[in-house]
Amino acid sequence: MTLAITDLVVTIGSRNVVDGVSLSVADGERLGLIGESGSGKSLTALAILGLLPPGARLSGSILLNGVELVGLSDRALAAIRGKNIGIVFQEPKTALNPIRKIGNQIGESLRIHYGLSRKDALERAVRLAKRIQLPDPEKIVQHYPHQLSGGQRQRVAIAIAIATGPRLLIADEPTTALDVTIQAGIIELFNDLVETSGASLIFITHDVALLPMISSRAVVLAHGKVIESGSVAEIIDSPRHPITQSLAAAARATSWTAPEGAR
Amino acid sequence: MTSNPRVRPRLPYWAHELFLRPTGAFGATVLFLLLASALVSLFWTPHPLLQANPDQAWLGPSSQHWLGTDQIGRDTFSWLLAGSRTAVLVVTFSTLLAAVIGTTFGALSALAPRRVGAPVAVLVDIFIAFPVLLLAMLLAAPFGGSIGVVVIAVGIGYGMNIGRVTRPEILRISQSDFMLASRASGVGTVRSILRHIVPNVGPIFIVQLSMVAATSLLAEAGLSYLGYGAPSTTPSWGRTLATSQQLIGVQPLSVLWPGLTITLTVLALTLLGDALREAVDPRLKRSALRVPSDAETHPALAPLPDAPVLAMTASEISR
Repeated sequence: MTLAITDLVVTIGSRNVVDGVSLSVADGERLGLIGESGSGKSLTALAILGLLPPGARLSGSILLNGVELVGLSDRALAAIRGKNIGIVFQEPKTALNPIRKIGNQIGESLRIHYGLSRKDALERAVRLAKRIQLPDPEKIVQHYPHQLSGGQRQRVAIAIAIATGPRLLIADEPTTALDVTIQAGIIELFNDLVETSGASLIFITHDVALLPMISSRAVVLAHGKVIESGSVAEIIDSPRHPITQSLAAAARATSWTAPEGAR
Repeated sequence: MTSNPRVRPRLPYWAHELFLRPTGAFGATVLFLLLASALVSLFWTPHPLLQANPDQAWLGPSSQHWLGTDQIGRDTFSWLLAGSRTAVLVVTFSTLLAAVIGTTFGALSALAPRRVGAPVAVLVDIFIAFPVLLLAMLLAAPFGGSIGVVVIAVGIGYGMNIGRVTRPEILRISQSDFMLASRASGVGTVRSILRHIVPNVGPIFIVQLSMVAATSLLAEAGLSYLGYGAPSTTPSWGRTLATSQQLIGVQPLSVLWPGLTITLTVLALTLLGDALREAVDPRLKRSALRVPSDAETHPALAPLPDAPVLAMTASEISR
């Protein structure tokens, strides 16, 4: 699925939090979206889904396979979301409803978009749990989120995002809240999912060190603007913009770091 | 008392969890006894309710009058038995009214657009500044004391309280990541309210309601005690307590019975609410399932994936 964003502006109050961002993702491509916190990378992702916080105004153009998403009604967007786009958020602790069984949460969008029965959706959830390499899938779909570890919860969040077979996957700092050892497993899973399905991926992160593992091309955001874009090798080895330089330097400095608070 | 009831496997999950807890079993038992005595008193009391017999005033417990008699010779046990009707009525209707008002104002202040929600929240804050007893007295002044006044005062007063307590909780859930994630996967507003907000706010709501139930009984007793509640011909535990404590020197035991009844019921309602909250929350489940450790989820140990699910087409999925 191809995505083309041109001149995207998100205004909250009188501030342009995203200020004229243009980027594109080709079919089956993996794009890294980098920036410090507050650079507008998450809001860009939410804008694609039409899930901006209330009071935010949106202008510009978001073309998904040639369909203009800006200005679509909520109802039309709801049909596109989930079916065509999947998103994984940063914090696995809060990404799941604490009092619903995992299987029901994974199957939810299948029931909505494809009208599956409770039983069929659960069966599909078991297959998805297997696909994202959760242990003992038949049993684990009957568990509640608090019974899982952080890495397992993030895998469940991924299962929810891919349940309907979306052609565009957005990962918004999916590994930031995880241990470094678990991070590698999650990134491997993303790579595997995207490779086998041919879906496109937007991987949002502030950690430039992760980029070579996931994508070959990246876009750097700062203060809501694209300040640099190009191949990952270029961005890490010869960053042009000062902010990119500091991000790349941070990546080089922390690449030796041992896992913090290993469980 | 059935502290260890036989639990059939067909009992719903939350009921099973409820009876696993001593507080829940106790609360449910007392509540059942309360309902049973209210029902029984409609058809039968050991002595006719309003049969006054001044010759037999202030008798102690005997085989004739199990708990003695009051100041005009009425049988205390019969009177207390009939008093459970009033208690059931007050508790049921105040709790219902409080639930309706609480849900309305809580949901409105949290989910409505800001320019509606914010003023509603302020209104709720203003309302809870009025003590419930004062509200009841204000109502009783023009309309006279009655059970209805108690129900309306408690329902509005504590309903606002519930609205106040549930609002931040509804806000927290509606702004949570899983709410955003579920909207991202195309879940509509109504469905996400039913799936996410209602079940997550439910436990807090239950505790608040049980507190309303308990407090409504105390308020009824208190207001009847002050003369704003039930008229003297309506059997009410609060009024019985009020009249007997004025003459505590004549028959000390007469204070004990209504006091004990009120205390026991209030305690049972509170404990029941607490146990119910725990019973509906899977995080507080008594019989936890075994969770595989992280080591078992390590990619190297995980079984190889079978056919790629992500690569399925829409027609395959809807099959």
